[in-house]
Amino acid sequence: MSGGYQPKGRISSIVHNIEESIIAVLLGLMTLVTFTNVVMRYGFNSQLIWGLEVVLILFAWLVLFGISYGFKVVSHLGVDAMLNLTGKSTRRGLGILATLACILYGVLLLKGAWDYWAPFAGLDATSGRWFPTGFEDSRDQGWYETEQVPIPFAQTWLENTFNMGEAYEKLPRLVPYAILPFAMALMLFRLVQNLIRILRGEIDTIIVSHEAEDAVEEAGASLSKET
Amino acid sequence: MEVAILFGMVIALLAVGVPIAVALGLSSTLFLLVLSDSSLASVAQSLYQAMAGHYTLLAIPFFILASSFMSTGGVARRIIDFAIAIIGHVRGGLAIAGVLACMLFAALSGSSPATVVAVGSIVIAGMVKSGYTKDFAAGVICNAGTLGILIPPSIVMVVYASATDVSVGRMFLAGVIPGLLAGFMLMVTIYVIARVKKLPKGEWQGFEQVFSTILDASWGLFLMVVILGGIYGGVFTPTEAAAIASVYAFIVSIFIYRDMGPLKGRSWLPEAEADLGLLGLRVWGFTLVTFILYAIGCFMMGTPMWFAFAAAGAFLLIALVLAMLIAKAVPAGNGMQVATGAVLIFGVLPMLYAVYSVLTSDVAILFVIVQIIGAVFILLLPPSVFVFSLVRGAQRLEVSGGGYAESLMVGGKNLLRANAENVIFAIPAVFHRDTKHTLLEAGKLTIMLMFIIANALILKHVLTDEQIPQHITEVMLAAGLGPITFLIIVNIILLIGGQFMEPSGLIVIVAPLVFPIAIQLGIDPIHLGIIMVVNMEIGMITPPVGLNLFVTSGVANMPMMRVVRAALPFLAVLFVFLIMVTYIPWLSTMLPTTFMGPEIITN
Repeated sequence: MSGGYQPKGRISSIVHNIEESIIAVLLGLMTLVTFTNVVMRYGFNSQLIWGLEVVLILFAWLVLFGISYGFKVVSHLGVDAMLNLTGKSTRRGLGILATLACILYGVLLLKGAWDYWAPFAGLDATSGRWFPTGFEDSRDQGWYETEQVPIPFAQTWLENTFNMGEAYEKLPRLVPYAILPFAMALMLFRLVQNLIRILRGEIDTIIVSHEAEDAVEEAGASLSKET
Repeated sequence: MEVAILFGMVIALLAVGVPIAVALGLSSTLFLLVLSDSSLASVAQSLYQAMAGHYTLLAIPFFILASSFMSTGGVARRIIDFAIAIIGHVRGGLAIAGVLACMLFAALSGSSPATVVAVGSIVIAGMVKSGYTKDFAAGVICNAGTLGILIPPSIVMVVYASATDVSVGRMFLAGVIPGLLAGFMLMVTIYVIARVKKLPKGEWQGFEQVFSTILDASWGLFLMVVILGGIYGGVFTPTEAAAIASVYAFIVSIFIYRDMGPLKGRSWLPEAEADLGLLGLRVWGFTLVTFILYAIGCFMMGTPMWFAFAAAGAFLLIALVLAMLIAKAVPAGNGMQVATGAVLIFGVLPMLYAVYSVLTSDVAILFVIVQIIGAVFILLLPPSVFVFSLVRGAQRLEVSGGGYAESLMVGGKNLLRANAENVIFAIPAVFHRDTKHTLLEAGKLTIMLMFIIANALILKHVLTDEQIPQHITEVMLAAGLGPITFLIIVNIILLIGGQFMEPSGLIVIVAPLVFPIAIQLGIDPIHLGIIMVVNMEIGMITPPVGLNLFVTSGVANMPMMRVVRAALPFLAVLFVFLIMVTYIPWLSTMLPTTFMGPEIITN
């Protein structure tokens, strides 16, 4: 079940650590920026004008990035009432079916995410309605900027690469939106990994029935020890 | 027809074990591709905008983070001690205390399973030890744990507010009376059962125990004051309040309770000096807290800082004299008399004065009641806690055999040492692995919930694009649907849905479907919201697959069917409660209407 994920080998434990750190840092930053803004408003009558927008971007990054992590450690919520009635082999078959459905979702959304992001980065979106059939010429939208977010670094590089050398006043939208194709690709990757894990018999489902599953097991075990 | 296929597809996907989020998202995406001309890019965009475009939903990660810091066993333990000290001495007291603890813990955490785990794992074992049956214990906790989503702050309410564009503050206020009522009904039922079955009762441990445990629990419970006070005082938006609350919870759990982080296990008073120094520590500690509160007040109002120093100085003088009197009186056997006298002077008199001025002023009756309750909490409670916790300190001092001056020295020394530790470890605490772990756990939960909500929002787009809510409204109204039948239908849909679905996701889907009908029928949106939340609550404990039943069966290590049977009598109580909430609108609307004006319905 959830938390059952143990990274195997050096590289995967490094990656695991990086993923967990990113999630923790994103949430921590969101809290700090919001907190700082309130303190500044009351204490110093000023505020970080980009505060709210940055927090919302971090929020989107946190969730989108975390989806793939959730699939990896098997922590997404599902309904296992029906699954629990079935036998072991049916359960495995249904697990494969469910993962395939998720992979379809991943493929569709990866195409969608690319199509949405590409014009902002001056790249071409894919043609085709369901599945990518090639690239089509799309209108370059690299000049779109966020409302208030300043550019922390690499301004010249961004301008030269995505805006034909013209100056940006604010962070271009392609930066926050870049999480979309990245996160969806990562999600698809984890889903394929999950499929392999199911086929190998390491896990038999990709859902948990509620968020406190680990804690419940611990509590149940300690209670039966006490009484 | 298409809608039936859409929902059929969602259910089929759920049944084979697809995560809820993907089941919702995949069905809606396929639906859009086949039946409309929107592109996959727009689906991806709504996924992104679900987070980046919803300021209200931003409160969710912060509430989750605050409750993750508070969900350690230590906080639950303190709240339970307090509940037992207050009510443990009546028949069935431990069970009633369990309900009270669930209600208080619910106010800190927004999730029902978390409440059941935190409170249940301590209380169920305790009840079995004092002679209750395990079934009774599990039944009580399983039901009381559902109050988590009804008592504010509640994540489900944030989602409802966001889905229907009502104010989060209103929803929170609306949950107060129903939440208290549900808890009260459960308690009365337990008391009646206890009388009939002659269940065990505990011993009255004295006022000093009550107030000493309040003092311990108050750091955690103050979180509620930060959130609700901040919102209704107009100081913060709900989102900011949630962020402040998580910073506060971080400080309390790491620097004050020291349940986690670099200072874990280093208590404020070392074991050897615990009896001797307690009185002194409390005198100095209360002075310090007084100073900090006044300093924050001065900072926010722009008053010069010397005011805070003056207030703390005056407090210290009174505290020193009072503690000395109590330290003398306790060995002589009249400590409680002195303490009662002090409470009369510093607590009851100001409170009576406040009550008098409220009564003679010319405001609505509800305001009068709320202001009187406020006067009790603000003017009577803190002095009582202070004075009686000094009595407890003096009793411990008597045990240790030390003198008052010695206690002041030891207490002051330890307060300085502990605060020096806090300052030294302030920065390392942020990077400590416990902090990272809590952030990660909260992040995981946020991701899980928001993934579902984001996909439910895609489904909502599909429904509104196809004008399905309008169609349903027309059909329903044409069929001559009245408010009562409508509410029954809502009850049934949600009871069934609540069995399978995560409450927040279900709200995002069902709210836009029923909301327009409710408006047409003249049902208050806030009232509808509370009905939906209560339904969700009951769905969690309705067999065959209520979520809380699973959790309780895991925590209590009991087979599912036994938990179902154990929960049934209390489930009946909650059903009566549901009927009351559904058909007595003012239970939910009275507080928000009085304090925030009548609801303006925008359509």
